[in-house]
Amino acid sequence: MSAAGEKLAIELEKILLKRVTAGKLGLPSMATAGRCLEILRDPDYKTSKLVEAIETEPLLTLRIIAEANSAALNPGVRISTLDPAVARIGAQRLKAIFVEHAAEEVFRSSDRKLADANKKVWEHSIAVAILARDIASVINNPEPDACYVAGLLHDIGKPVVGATLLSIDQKTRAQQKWLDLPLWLEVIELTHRKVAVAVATEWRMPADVISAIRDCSDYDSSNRNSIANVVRLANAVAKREGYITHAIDVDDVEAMIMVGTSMLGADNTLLQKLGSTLRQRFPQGMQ
Amino acid sequence: MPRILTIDDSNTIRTIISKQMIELGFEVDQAEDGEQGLAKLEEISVDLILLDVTMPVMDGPTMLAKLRERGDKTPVIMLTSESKRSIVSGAVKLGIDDYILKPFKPDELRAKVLKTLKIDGPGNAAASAGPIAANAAVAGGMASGGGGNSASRQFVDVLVIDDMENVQKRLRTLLPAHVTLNGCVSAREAMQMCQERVYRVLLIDLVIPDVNSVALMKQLRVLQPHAVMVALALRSANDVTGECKGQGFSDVLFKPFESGAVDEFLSGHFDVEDVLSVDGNLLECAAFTGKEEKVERYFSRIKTLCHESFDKLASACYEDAILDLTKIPPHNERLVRMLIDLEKESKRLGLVMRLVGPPAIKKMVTCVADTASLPFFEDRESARGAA
Repeated sequence: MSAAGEKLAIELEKILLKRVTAGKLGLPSMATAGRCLEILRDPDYKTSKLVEAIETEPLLTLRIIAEANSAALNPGVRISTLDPAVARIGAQRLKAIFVEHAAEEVFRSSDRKLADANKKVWEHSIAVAILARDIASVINNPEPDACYVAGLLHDIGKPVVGATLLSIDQKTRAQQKWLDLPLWLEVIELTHRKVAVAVATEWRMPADVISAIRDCSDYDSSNRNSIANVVRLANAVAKREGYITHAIDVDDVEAMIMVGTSMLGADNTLLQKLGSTLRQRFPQGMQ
Repeated sequence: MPRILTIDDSNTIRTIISKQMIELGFEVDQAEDGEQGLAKLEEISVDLILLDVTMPVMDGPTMLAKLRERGDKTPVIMLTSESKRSIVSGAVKLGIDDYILKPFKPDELRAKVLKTLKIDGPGNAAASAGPIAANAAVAGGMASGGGGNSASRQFVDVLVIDDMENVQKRLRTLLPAHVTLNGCVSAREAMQMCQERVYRVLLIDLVIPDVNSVALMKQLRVLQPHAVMVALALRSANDVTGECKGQGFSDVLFKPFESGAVDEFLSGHFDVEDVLSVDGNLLECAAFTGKEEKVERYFSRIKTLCHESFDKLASACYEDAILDLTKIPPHNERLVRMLIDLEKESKRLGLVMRLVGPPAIKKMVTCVADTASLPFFEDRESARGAA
């Protein structure tokens, strides 16, 4: 780590953590998604309140109605309003939709350079999310949707840090001081985990999801089949399949897969098969 | 006989491992630490080393490094309670073949040892098949389980994935005996069964608790690339078929099952030996061989197929159709009802329907006013001659 990178990372981390906890990160969907998730946290939540929150964002509204009418929910009558859509989808799946929608927004950027970098991270996140759900099915983890969400969020700190770095870059550029790419990447690597934890905490994600985001480098052998361990293994398999955002150590990835498959009781051959067809299972438009 | 060296400071672990390896028919040597292990390997040659990480005197990674330094490439499985990435990653760099985390299940140890030794014996198959395979065979009732590699994977016609066990049982009663069927109630079972067998059709319920059926279908497609994916859905006013096809399913079978729909499903996906054979303008009904409660379906199927054939005959400018009833079961009411319908249909298309059959069938047909006037012949030649 360079001294400059470390210094910048510390400063940036302070700024970002403060902004996240103060709700001033300025990311478009966080407010709606956060509010919706907050409402869902109440076991006796009122549908009307939730509908009111969703309605503030047209794209999210459309997404919820489309999901309610999808084949997976076996619709009896076509739904065109939010009330019955919310009732049909149910709290568990709604949570996943809110998080996915919000996360997708976070990864968008009007800056081309940042958008390209974010696209890679987003693809990696989708790959990890799909594999996490695969692994949940293989090991009979009762929360495949939560595994999916944790997979989506595990790198969410990267675009957040990236966006902030961009604004710094633009300011320094005016003074002829360029933030070079290696330094940029170094700072993101140093800070993104803590920022992601702050975002997930702000969105009040379950502790297990936050744990998956906090540390992707080592498994927790005290709770073998946990969501966090599922995401760690999914992360390694996604990397093996080439969904990477930076250079990787192949032996390191192999070690994570060896430990993960043994810890979770998953079959590596099966994971190889599932991993090899990831692209075909990406959401439409990303295949 | 393969020879294995287990290196672990715990006497209990060495004893457990030795017992299991001896059960597999292997010869086992033991060492308490890395130093003893290296010394042992100077005396003997082994096919596989099972190596612990944390040990007194000399730990596993140090021993492994020394082993590789002296050019020894004996396969190594790391068997340890150490799960730190940095340590395992270091071992991967030194060339371990696999890793087992303590505490471990005997199945995992057996499977990984056999895999590393490249032995694909019955022990391996037993280790990998697991308890689900056995349960599934019982649940399916028709197709027995079998693990192992793809070459030995058993072929089964249908897998029903539905959390309600009754669904598979109900479908079983509607399918002919020669169509093999397995059933399971969870995503995990489905994944395992799809690894172990080859299916022609997967029927996936759209509403399984805590399971996204579309995601599951996509997962299973990876394991069964040639299988047809059919959704199991409840009837609704909506275009469920269109929705499902849009999501990647090939078709939909609605619940509760209707015999006509199941017949269509069968004819769409299986080479079912049909109840009507067609040769030119001669249509011959096959004998009924099923259970008594399925006779209604038999007549209904003949009717459907005759309609299709009449259509083709009319298009091909035939003037008559000969329907041979020699093998048809003597179910008076059903037969007459069917013939009334077929006569209407043939007239509509401008065809003359001539019947062929034994005296008993002729009697049934001629003693009912609605069918009495239908031209009936004792054999095909006479029917053809009358044309």
